[in-house]
Amino acid sequence: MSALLIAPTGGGKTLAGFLPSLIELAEGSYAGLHTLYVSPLKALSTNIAESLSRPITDMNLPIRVEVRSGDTSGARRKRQQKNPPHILLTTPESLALLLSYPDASAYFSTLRVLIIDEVHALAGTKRGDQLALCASRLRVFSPSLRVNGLSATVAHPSAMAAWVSPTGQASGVRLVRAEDGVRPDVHVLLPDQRGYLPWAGRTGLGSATAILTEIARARLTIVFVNSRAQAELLFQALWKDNADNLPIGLHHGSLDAGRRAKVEEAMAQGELRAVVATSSLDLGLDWGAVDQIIQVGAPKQISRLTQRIGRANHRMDEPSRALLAPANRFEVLECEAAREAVLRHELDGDPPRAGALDVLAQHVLITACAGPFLPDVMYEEVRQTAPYNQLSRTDFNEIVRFVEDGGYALQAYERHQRLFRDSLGQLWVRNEQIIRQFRMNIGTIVDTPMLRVKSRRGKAYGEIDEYFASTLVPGDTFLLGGELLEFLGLHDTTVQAARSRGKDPRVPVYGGNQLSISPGLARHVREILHAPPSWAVLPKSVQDWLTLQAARSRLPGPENFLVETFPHRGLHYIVAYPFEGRNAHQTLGLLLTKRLEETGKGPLGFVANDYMVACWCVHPTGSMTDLFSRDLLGGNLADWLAESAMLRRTFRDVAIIAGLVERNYPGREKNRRQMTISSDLLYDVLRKYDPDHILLRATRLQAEEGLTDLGRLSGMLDRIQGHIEPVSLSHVSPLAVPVLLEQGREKIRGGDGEDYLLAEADKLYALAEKE
Amino acid sequence: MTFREITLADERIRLLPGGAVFLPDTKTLVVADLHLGKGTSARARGLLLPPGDTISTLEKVLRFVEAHSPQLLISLGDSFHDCQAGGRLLDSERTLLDRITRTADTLWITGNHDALPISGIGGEWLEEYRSGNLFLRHIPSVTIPSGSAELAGHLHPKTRIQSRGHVMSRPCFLTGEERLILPALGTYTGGLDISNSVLSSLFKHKAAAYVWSTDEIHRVA
Repeated sequence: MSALLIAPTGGGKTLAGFLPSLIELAEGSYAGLHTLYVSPLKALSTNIAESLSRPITDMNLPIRVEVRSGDTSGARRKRQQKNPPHILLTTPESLALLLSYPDASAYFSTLRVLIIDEVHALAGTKRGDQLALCASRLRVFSPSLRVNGLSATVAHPSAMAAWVSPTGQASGVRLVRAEDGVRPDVHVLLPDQRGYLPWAGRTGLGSATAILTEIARARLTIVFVNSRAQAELLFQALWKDNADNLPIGLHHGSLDAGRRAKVEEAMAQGELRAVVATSSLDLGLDWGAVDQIIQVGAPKQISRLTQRIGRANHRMDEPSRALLAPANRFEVLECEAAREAVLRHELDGDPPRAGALDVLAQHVLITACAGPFLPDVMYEEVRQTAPYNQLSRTDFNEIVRFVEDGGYALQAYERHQRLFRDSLGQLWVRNEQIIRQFRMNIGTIVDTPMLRVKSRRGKAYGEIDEYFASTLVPGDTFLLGGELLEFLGLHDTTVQAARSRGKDPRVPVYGGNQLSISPGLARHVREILHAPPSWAVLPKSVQDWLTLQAARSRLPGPENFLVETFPHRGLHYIVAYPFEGRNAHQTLGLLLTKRLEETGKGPLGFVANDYMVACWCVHPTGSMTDLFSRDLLGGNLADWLAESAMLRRTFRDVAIIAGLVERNYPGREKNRRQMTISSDLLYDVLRKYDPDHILLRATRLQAEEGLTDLGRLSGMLDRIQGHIEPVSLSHVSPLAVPVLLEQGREKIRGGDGEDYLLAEADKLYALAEKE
Repeated sequence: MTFREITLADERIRLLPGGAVFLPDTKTLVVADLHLGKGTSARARGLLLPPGDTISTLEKVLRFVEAHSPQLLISLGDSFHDCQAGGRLLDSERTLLDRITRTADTLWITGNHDALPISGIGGEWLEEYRSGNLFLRHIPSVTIPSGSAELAGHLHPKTRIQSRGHVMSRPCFLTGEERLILPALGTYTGGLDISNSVLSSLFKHKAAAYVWSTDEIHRVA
């Protein structure tokens, strides 16, 4: 029977998952692959392989363990294929690739156990969708396959159980839950300098000396941050003030694998006092005897914070110690709210959503690459997975047709299909070239391409975003792996760099989404803001800030809905404070700009964070009570949404994952002529001539997950009628400053606002010519 | 729709919103870089892009033809994305193309993508064409005889406009004393920023860039 083990982080659950396999394999008569282990991180597989090898070698067991990932050499792959290990450790992407080969059915026919680690980090994501589909294939090759899922504590345990189940239903799975540990010890850590906190910013550099003091007081600390750039900056800031030369390391996903391994080893050996880390240390084994964690910057999600705090539990019977270091004023409120939520054992996060259709399209092609398939059989197979349990036959058919010939309405053009049907109704891939091409496209992670950074002698430092690399000129310096490097030049697909002493280094920007705060946490923040007596726990600079807001404008309270308007940089701004979380505010930003466009105000863009939304126009913005009226939701919202930058971004990812366009590999353009057409252009053409195309439907479905359902906004609009408090200011208010510094601005393109700016630029030229 | 008239080598040239050019004295409409058939050009490799780009581009050209009733339509090269593109035209696309070539005499200038004439479509094929003091060709030439000017395509100029903190990127007309480079009209065509030396080196002085809003032409550089 399949099982799901739910236990707090670091409870040793991963190795527990292997015990039954080790026992079955110990007698030594098993031939072929017995156990497959899949985790979201390559590094985790390597690490587990080492942990498993020790007892196997010590006890002289006849068991072979191997890792398969994107880094595995061609020779080793061939050997693994010919002579399979007993236990293979891999990632969802490498497994998908294995399944695209015709010998997959023979290879996996001996498989008894599938171990899925970190289920909570996979379920509900596209990588998870892919893994669930791969698992359904494995069950076809080996019908008696057992699945053992391992998960951190989550808000929806039975949905997780369904996710590992062979039928997509929780009923077929044994659920094992470990007890919660001792209540953790959580405090908010304020920066020095009498608790001064900046307006905005997410780096928390001002807390460096306070963090150092805390590091010095413990044996081993993990300093968790929210982004790779923040990790680099904070690492530098800590070393600048590190008078005692405490050994502090750095760990993030863009560092060279060898360097990461060194840091992990040093942690395990007790040679480090602290490690600055991103989510790269969220998952996996205990890396050492961690005494405390410091979360720098907003924790964003209670469940994630709880998991991070769980890293500091090397003594099960003692409380984990955690410090939350806010990076700006709003984050103080958020840290305070998160601290209380963790102590109440709250968990957040939605149950896993339905499987994405673009991932299904990729799976259809993966299956076809391995051999012909019957659509009827495949449909039943796919529906045995939890993500695609509710998949309709129509959607499935349209996806298959998309893979087959594009599925376009315009198609009178019969030649060049990707799949063909034989007389038995089986579908085959048309030729080897398409198979080869497609295998390079497998995977559901859509990242900006990364370039390796090496010294002249070939020493690897790590990797940086291709776009960031393109902005560097020789002589520029940048931070990577905590080292200051000088950019020498670009050689093929490698960035050459040398250590440098230059000043003002740049920090590599990495793509990737910002986490949105959970709605529960946003509500807690609003409650603190509404109750001035509760401010006493806040640092003085934050109290002053809120007091200043009350004097210059108003405070958003439980009874009023504050909307500020003010001129700023030649534009007219509107800032509203609903405290409904970023997703709801994104939707509201779309609605507001739509209405402003309709009423001729020339909106140019909007930006949202977890607390508020701002939009700006070329013309004065008119009455706020009219703008925020109930019929804000009327009119043709679908069209406006379809035009938005958000949908275009979603489509880009869908197009890559579904195989509509090819991935961009840096350097590959040189070898062959590439068809790089902006996905925006494809999107526009598809909308115009094929509005019901399955990929557009997939795009809309996915975008809607990122936007709050309109029902909730409609409720908000009802609530605020009669309570809207417009405040007209001569300049930006204290509370609005953070949102204006927020990243992720959405532009309104091709509307009245842009027309106005173009006409204005033209007038300037006419004036200049007269003079 | 409001055009903007400029003069090169004493010839009047109207820049039209949407990216075409009209020469009022000879009633000639000029378009560039249509790249018809680009969407279907990689199907053999298994890349199944939405094929609507060709019909969308042809609809744009037809709208220009109907609005200006030219005697002569000149397509400045790379009209077809490859030499087999004619064979991949759908019936609906061919119908539209026929309508265009029947409405105006059509001259196809050869480009680097369509170096050989495409058979089976209306109109004539030439390597370049002279209209009064204007030379019309696909790739801009380095030197232009004095007293004349050149209309060319090939480079797909676009420009960034920054105003009040708002940044726009738009295809544009790029012009100096002796030449005009037209924007690409093809639906799936990208662009080259006018700051790129390939473009800027063609002009002795700083070139003027014109973009279009919903129905007007604006100079932005």
